[in-house]
Amino acid sequence: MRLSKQTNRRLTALLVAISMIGALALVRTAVQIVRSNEESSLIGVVDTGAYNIDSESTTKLPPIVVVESKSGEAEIIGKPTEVALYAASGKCINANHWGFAAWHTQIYLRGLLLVAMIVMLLWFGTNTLRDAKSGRLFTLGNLRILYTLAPTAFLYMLITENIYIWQQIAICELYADAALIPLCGQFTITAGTIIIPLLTITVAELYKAAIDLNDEEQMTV
Amino acid sequence: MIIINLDVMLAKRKMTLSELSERVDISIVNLSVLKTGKARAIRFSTLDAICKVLDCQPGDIIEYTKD
Repeated sequence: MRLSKQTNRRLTALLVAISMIGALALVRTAVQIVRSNEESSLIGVVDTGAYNIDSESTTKLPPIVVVESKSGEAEIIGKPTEVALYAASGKCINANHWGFAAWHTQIYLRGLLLVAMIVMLLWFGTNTLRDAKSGRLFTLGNLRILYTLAPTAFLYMLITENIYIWQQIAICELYADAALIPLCGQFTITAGTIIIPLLTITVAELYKAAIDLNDEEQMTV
Repeated sequence: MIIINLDVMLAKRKMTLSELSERVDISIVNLSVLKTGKARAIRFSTLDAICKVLDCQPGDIIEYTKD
């Protein structure tokens, strides 16, 4: 897309800033995942049994994953009220062998997808800078990166947002029932994994249409 | 299909593309796009200017032939 010099400069700065901030945020998340994986390992879960949130509720709580911290003390991950309830139950069951493998696989997979997204964002930033020199923005090369980035982000979110499923896989012998996923979690999965990629693709389509229109205009003498 | 005969007209008038570019005030890049048949559309103002300088009709520059 050909733009005036000032608009071109501003848009380039904006796009490069967005891609760099995005890449930095992803690097931070990747570092956190690696650290948490190094510092802890899955050792077991606390069985909620028949515990409910309150006496009137019949909602069963999802199982909570217990991790072993570097200091060797068991650490429970979850909301304070849930943690208190789990702690009160006092039941701890070890995760099975396959559970460890499944849990770590999702961590490595997320890490891999994060690295891929970081590379794509950096590539997007560099491409934008290169294209800006020739006075063009939103070229097909950059659109292809966006097209690749959208499904990658979709897959990453699918894995991340389904963390309860991974927890259940980790303890599959005990909890194979997917109905344990909380409703709010389901909502997040739907919103995150469907709406966001769709929005990205829509924006990319709009850019593509703008390019086509612009190319048509450029070929008019 | 539409064929552009700008090169033929330029040869007839013994004029170069850069000379035409100066006289019609259209960039040489755009005229080259037109001459090589890459143009998707041509403005009436461009056609008007070219016809004026080359002293010809639009039909001398653009021609239709069956595929």
